[in-house]
Amino acid sequence: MEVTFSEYFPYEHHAAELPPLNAGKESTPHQVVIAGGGPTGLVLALSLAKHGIASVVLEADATVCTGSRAGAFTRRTMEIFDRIGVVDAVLDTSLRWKEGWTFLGMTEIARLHVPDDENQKFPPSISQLQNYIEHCLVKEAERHRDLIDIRWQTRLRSLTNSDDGVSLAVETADGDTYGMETAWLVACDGGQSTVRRELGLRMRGERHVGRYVIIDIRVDNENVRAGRHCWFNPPSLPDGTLLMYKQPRGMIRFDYQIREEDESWAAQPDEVLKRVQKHLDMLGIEGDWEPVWLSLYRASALTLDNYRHGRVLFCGDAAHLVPIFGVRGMNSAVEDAHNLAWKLAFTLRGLNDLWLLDTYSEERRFAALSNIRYASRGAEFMSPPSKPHRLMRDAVLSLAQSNPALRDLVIPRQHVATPLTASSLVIPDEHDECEAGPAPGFVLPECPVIIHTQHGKREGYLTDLLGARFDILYFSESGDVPVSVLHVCEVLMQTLPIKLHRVVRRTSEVADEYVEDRTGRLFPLFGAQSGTLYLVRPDGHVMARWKQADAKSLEAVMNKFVLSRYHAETVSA
Amino acid sequence: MTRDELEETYTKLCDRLSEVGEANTGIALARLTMLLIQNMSDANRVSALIDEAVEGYAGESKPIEEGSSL
Repeated sequence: MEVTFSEYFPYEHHAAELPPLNAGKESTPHQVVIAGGGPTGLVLALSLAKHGIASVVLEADATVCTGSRAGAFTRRTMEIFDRIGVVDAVLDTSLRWKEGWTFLGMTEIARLHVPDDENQKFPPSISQLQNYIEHCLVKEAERHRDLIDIRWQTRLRSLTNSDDGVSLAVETADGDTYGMETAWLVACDGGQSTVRRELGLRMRGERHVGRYVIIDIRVDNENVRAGRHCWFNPPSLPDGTLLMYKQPRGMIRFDYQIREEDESWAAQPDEVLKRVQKHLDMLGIEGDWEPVWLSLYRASALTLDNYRHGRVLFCGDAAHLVPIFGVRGMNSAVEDAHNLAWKLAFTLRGLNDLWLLDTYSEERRFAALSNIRYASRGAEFMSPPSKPHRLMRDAVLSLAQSNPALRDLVIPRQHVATPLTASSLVIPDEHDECEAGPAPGFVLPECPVIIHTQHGKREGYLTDLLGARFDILYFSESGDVPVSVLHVCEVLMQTLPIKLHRVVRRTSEVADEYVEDRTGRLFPLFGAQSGTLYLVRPDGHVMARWKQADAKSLEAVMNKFVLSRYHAETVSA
Repeated sequence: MTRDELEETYTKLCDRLSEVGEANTGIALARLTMLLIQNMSDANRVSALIDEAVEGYAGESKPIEEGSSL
């Protein structure tokens, strides 16, 4: 059940448009068609554009989604938004937060602190509306019309998957149908994926791990703190559990966990509104308010066994579903898209097998299982699935205030980028490697730096260095890089998009282009000494590192995992 | 713990549970369990003790969802 009472903001409506057709078909085949123009599909299209890859996005609706859906976003999502050029627009009207409050009745029993420190470029968490983020993504996509073709009100009807591509039949809202050919189809079409159904694929796992009512209201939220508010057994809902987030544009979101005995009221919007009124009264929030959007839904914890089926790839909710606890839905979908984009781009640019794309499936399925594990624990604590579960949950709640060690059970673990430590595309430390710093598989940590170029210098952050390529960080005192390492980089650059960054403790006399550890925190953060080298994948995950760089090892790794798989022609961007 | 202490502790637990009554015994034992667990340092040992505690008590079987192999 879903009820839209009013628009969150004035949506732009887009008409269906037909491309030039030849006998009911587009004559030119596409490289990538993305089914679904939600956040997953749009992040993928923008990430592919960064690699110079064109895509067509099929979106069944005329606007961004009319319900809000996802509402809280992680720092990792901000970093990815930064890479695709939308972070400023998204942050502009967002609410930044790093705390959460958990109450038993009216008594605070535990507090969530989202990790934060002085090195960060972005806030640890924000509240924002999913549909507003979609709006920002659409605007950015429109600035790249040469590479991103969004086809509104156009729905995928059927597909044929073959060894060298996919044939599609699509239909517009005006009833026009046409055929398309594409080398790759990426299903970003959500939990009810048409692509998944057409291929006869099923997700596995726990179908229903809970029932929830989400409602967004417009209200004077001036005195509400941004962050996660959680109540167990509040006076406004005896024996119930609910979450509350302050939202941008003068809104508040409530998320009720529904037990079987609550289902009668949860299915009636009027009854939900009454309970919202009770809670507002309890909090002393006065004045008129109006509902904006309400949804009763069942959360599942499901995943496909493989995210690649022939020439079809699955991304976001089309690939896996997780309960909402710990903000793992859209955040993990954004990570999926970012992980997939460079692998698809490299494959299209001349890889001679599909191994890189299979690492996408391997890595993101691993992440989905980890997300499902954490989110299901959160869901079970919030709405216990059996009486014994509830007994133990209540025991913990009653003890948390006086026993700090038990508070970790009360606060769901917040989503962080899943370290891809078990991936076959990550080279574990061999011996005597850095005591500190991101181990292979982890995302690069943030740190302020000064970026020196031939044109001068500017204050920036480490992640500003990353591009649509492999990035190599070489740490040294002076900016000197051994000839052997330089030589390997030069050879690699002839075939691969790759960039060497000289990371220097102080200012350099020998290089014009380098990164200065202005704060003195960067070297320790990476466990680096003069001669340390980090190899960073195009998605920002560390692929390999050497405390004392060794040109031969670097060359061997790049050869084995990337170079040997290329056709002969140069693919450097 | 000496034999005397063990006997005293056991008796105290029985007496205090009788005071709170049968209806509250479940939650009281659940609270006690969590308090004891938070003072343990060996998770494997706790896990083995949990298995030992429930061994031999057949309960209502929880329906297993289709394909719930995760």
